[in-house]
Amino acid sequence: MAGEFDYEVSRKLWEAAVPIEFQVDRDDESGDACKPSYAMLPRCGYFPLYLARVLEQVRAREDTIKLDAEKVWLESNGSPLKIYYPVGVLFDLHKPLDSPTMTVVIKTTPRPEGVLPVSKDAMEAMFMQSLKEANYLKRRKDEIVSSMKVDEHKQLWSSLVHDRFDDFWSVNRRLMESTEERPFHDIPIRLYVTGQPFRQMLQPPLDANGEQRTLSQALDSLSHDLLENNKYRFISHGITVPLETPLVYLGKNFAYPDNFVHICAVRNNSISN
Amino acid sequence: MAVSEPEFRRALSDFVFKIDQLGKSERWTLHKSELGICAKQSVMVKFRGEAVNRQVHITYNSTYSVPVLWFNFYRRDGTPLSTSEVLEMSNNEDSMDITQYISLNEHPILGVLFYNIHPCKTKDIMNELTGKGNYIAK
Repeated sequence: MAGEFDYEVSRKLWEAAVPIEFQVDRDDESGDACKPSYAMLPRCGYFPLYLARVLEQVRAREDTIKLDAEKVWLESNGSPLKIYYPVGVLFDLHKPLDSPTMTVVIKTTPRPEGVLPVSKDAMEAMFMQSLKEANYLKRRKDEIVSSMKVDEHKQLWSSLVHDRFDDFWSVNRRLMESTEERPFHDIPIRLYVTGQPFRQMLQPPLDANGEQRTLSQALDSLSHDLLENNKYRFISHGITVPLETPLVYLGKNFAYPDNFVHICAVRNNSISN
Repeated sequence: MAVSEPEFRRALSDFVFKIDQLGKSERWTLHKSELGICAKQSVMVKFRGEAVNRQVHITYNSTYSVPVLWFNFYRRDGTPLSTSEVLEMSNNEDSMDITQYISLNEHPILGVLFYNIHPCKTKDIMNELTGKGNYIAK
């Protein structure tokens, strides 16, 4: 049961959306404050997929604004936003505890050093690279992703872009097959901490005694420093994941569409649940 | 050809040391941190008659057990070349078309976007380029 695929969980995670408040940081000195714009964005999607639509929404209300998707960059809590992370990861990392929304500032000043624009094509290439890496981890050979037809690869990305759950899972189901005879070799997991590159290490599903490894054991190898003193909660898809959760369950049910389980380390404080 | 991480660390240190011994102007430097080991090179190269700064880094990828090549190009004012310009720079006369495997991704030590060759292709590329030297330098 611990390693079973749960349709309801996958469906709910696919459908989850988060409220984003967009503000425009005008570089002119007019002093006029733009009204914020609000959008519900899918947790499993990526900002580059929605930016053009958000900018249209902002321009519809403030026709004096010139906003070019190629030139703006996004900021949250004073830091450039890593728009190539899934929306849900960014929301879990950046949403203040005392607010239902995450605030994203649309910046029109020159980009800071190290911040590159990400086109939809570049986002697709990154997604495919992550997908291939996740499945190499699970299979140790490129047997499934490589043997797939090119249009099946395209279907995973296209289904995500166009919000087609059934089309996505008609292909993804094969990537999630894991049995006692043919188990996953490693579970694809990435850990995120604000202001740092994501952390990733090999995570076998079983320990030396053949017992199921849990999230606690994965985190101990990835982030022993963060586990001390209960300073952090570990959140995926907005849920504080119990530390005793088996890795196989997470790999089958909590993976984002790129097939990685993305876990966010979020600092605890006195306001936490 | 898989490489274990300790082997990679030894080979990278040896590589940086030997290049330094040759006294070439194109020096590599070794950087160690909690996030891993990285060799870096920063040189000026020509692009359409303009001098641009080319940054090349080598890190280790534990999934594929191979080195990963990361790179980016910056104009004098610090702005990066666009993707199409980077692909133009990366094109060369090698028989293998590298550009289809080049993608932006997050640099595992810097935490910002850099271009890389997809590590699942590094093994093929290392075999293909044996004896042809460092194609990034071309």
